[in-house]
Amino acid sequence: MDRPYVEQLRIQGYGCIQDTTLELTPLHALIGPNDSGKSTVLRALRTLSSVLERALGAPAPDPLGRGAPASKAHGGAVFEVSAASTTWRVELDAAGRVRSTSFPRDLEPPSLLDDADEDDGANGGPSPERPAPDIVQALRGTQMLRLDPDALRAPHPLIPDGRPLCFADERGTGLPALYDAVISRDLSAYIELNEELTRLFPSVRSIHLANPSSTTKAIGVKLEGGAVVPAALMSEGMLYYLAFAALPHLDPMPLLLVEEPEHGLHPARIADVMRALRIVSEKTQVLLATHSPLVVNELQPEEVTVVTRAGEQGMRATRILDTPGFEDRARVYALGELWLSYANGADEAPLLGGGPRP
Amino acid sequence: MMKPLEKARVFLVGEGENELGSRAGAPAYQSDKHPGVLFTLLSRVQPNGWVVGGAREWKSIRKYQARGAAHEDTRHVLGAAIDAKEAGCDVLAFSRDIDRDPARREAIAEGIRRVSSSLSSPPEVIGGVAVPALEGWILALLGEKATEELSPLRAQAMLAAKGMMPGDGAALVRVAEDADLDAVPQDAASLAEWLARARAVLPRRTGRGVR
Repeated sequence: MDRPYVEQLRIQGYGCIQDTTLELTPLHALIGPNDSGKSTVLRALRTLSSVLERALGAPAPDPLGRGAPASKAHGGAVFEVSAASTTWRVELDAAGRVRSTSFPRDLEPPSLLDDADEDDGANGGPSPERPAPDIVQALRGTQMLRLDPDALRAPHPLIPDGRPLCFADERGTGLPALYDAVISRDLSAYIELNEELTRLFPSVRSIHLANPSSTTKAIGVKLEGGAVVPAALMSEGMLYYLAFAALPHLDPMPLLLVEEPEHGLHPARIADVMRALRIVSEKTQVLLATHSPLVVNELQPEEVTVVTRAGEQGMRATRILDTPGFEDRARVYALGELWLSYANGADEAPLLGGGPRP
Repeated sequence: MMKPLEKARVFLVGEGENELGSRAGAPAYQSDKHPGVLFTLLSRVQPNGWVVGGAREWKSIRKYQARGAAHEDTRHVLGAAIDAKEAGCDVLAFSRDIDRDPARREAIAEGIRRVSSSLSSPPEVIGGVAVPALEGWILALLGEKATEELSPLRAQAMLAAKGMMPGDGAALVRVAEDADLDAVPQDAASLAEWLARARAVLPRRTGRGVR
């Protein structure tokens, strides 16, 4: 990727996370048992994106690189996001007050807590410091996708020329309008989307966009025999596929957080969705939380982090590359197969601790 | 004072109870209560100096594979080898029924070749296809000729005619216990190769001379 992206994320005291550092890549998956903290990591990044939006309205940082003091955070969270040559440290206290600073990545972080004044919290503290450009480029406009078939099916107002091409929310609202906008902005892309759809779903002849009103679009598909299947009758799998297939044609965002991209998809379609996400990851960092070994099969070893809960210590993140015996195991198994072979759905001990598979 | 030799650990892989005896099934339920044909044959070759360090049925080796054009049995052998290695075993011993898949012989042979090239500190392998299936080996141990020309069903029928039903593992083990391993018909090549490999590997691994 030729622009800054989140290469390292340290989270302390947030949700189930005591102190964890993740090494991320432009396309990256978090795997692990239920309730291990995968979604917490995604939420942390979305929170940071919100903090960043707030910070961008704040004054520029002082030359010493220290943020203005705010009230001392007790029971709060600390985040460190590293992108390109910069680390952005954000402290979020239990009352939602934020303090942040950017510093060169190869330096020790300045402690904002130690410098905090005890008497300056009466007004909720100042806005966070404006982050460095590396961080802005890596985080500003982060979007989450937790697709919902009802949202994907819903007709949606047209997207005027010049307006951003993106889903209206994390549920995928606006899918019909996006496909309509792709027609007017990049006809060849729309034709390619249609061709790919008919290749993968042979009974389908084309995407069908209807006008329930003069200002809204509805999506459906036209079958080989000419019959039109409206969105209400389309399979969830096809709707999910259409949503993911559209992603490479949307306006690039810095970071896309996707919960369970495999949801509702036939196993054979998962590779197609992952292909779309890999194309997206050329311009947009994509971070997935997944339970599917078939998703993991489409990734490289450095692109997968195993997330587990370690009792009192909270969440633990381990790159699959760093698990015992990985080199030998990876020569025998595809990556998702390796995970499945050694996972136990609880603490993933056979994967993280070595030894025979269960 | 000489340190006593540690016993070699052998990992067994087979189709089911006939090959593995009470070592068939999920690891938590395995025992050494009664042997299968593979253990018995290995014991005939080398009675002492080794123990069973683990066992699996072929069906429990992971089967789906998104990438790679290799025959699934090539990958099965690699999967069995890494299971053996991670169970701390020095030797992997297996038989795989060739059934009606002629490509399986080469796939298994390729898997065995890849064990040493793909894994660090790989186990030694005593393994190969049983032609046409384990029942063919039992017939050969009984002195029958041209067993590799039989279909699996025909081999089963011939054993049944001798009073051994397909699921009667104990009867198959008795044949393996009593057979003259040096009198295996030459045309039972898959069994002869397997025994030759066992004779080469086990004595070396157990620090004992060739029997």
